[in-house]
Amino acid sequence: MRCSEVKRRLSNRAAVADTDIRDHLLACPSCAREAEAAGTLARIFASSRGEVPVPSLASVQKRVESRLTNQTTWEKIVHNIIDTYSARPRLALGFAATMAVLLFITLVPFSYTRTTGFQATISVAADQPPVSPKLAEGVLKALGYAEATVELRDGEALTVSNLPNESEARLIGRTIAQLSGSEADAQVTPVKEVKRTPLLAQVVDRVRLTEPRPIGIRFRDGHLVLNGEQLDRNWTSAQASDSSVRRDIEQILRHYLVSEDDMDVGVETNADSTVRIIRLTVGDRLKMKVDKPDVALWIRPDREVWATFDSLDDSIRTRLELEFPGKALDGRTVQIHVELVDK
Amino acid sequence: MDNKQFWKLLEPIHAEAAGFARRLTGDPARADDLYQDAVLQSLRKAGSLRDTNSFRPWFYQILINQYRNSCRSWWFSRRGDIDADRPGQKLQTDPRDQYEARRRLTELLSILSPRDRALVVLFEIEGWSTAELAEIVNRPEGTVRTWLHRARTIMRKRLRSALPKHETDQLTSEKAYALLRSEKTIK
Repeated sequence: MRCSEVKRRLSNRAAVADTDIRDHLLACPSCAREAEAAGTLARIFASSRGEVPVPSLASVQKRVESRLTNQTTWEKIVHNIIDTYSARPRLALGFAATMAVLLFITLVPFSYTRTTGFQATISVAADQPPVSPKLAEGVLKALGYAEATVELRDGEALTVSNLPNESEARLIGRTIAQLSGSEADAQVTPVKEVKRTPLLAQVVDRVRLTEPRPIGIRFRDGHLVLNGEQLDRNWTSAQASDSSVRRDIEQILRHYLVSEDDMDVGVETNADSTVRIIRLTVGDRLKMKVDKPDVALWIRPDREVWATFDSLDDSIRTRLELEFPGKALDGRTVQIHVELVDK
Repeated sequence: MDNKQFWKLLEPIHAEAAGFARRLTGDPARADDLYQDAVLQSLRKAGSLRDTNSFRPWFYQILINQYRNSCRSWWFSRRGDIDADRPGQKLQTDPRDQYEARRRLTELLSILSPRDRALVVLFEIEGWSTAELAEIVNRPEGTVRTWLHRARTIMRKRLRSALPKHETDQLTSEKAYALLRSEKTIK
């Protein structure tokens, strides 16, 4: 018989023929020692059987019930929590994983590039004089962009910085370019910075930067243009009905994230079809621009009347009539009225 | 299940379970605390027991889990197991002496994991079957047999180093053979 077989039989305590094991044990001291240990272990187990003195059930019951009665509210809560999570280890694991994720997104900083604002760069052709910084500052002041800054770089390109979003930067750039009277070109670029903040702070940051876009409205050659989108229809009185003009304007406003509750569009042609009046009421963020050559007009929200940077003369064919009961950027209520007159 | 019903179910297994706690820990004070904690825990969880016929394995399951948790606790790890810190002593006297047997058993159990300790005590001393053990630990019977086999191997190995060296190999062999034969008788 081999040692491995002997050890296996000793482990399993299978019934063996005495002579098989005996002969091997006589020949193999190692297995003999193993057998001695196995036998000793069996004796230890055997000797350990038998009654063991234990406390009475009554005394155990008394002590346990006393502990239950004297348990504080806090102990009860803690035990309930432990019982809940030990009975449902997946729940505990899920809870621990959720806490780990929350701690991770609120405490661990990550680098990311954030757009802090926009700038508009107005450059002119080489043979043209640069755009006047004074003109730009005047426009910005009139429009209420107190935080924007103006800089003339290399004596040629004018840069307007600290503008809140791309649409406004584009509008301001174009306006200043046009008002300067020269062949100027406006380019808008974002201003970025690298920040190190936790993920949650980054998400909050991005949500805050999402604002309703401003609406630039202009009227040109009988066409209404909203934020650069020219509508197909000719909105002179002969070409479109009041209701179709109203629907078109509402559709465009919805496209620019104005909700149904915030907008109120009224379109009315006078009795002799010479004047169509469009009354447009929109929420509290609206900027207006009516472009040259028809009318160059900036509606400043904190004034009750419209103001122009150019004078009205006989060449003007149309004007836009709008009413704004909304709030200005600084919180004041404004009323603005502009009249649209067909030629 | 209400409290009254609980104590009624515990009564027939109380002596056996409390004795198991004592054999497991080797220390009467610790065993009584362990048993009390297990009773308290099972009283709290009594509502979760659907079939009162499985009260015995259910209660033992809680008792063994309490024991395993207590072995993991910081206090216990500082205090140490009962005889684990004592260096292995040579087996001088006949293990048939009950006190010596219990002391030796405690020492051998201390080298096992808490789970294996519980299984060895229940199987070798309390006389539970592998099927009953499998129900408590929620594992197949084959797994329980493997665990028991490994535990016995570890204990035998410790015993081998503790056994006195005999003068001749012949003596070792004869003694071994005699022990084996007497083991057959005991069984």
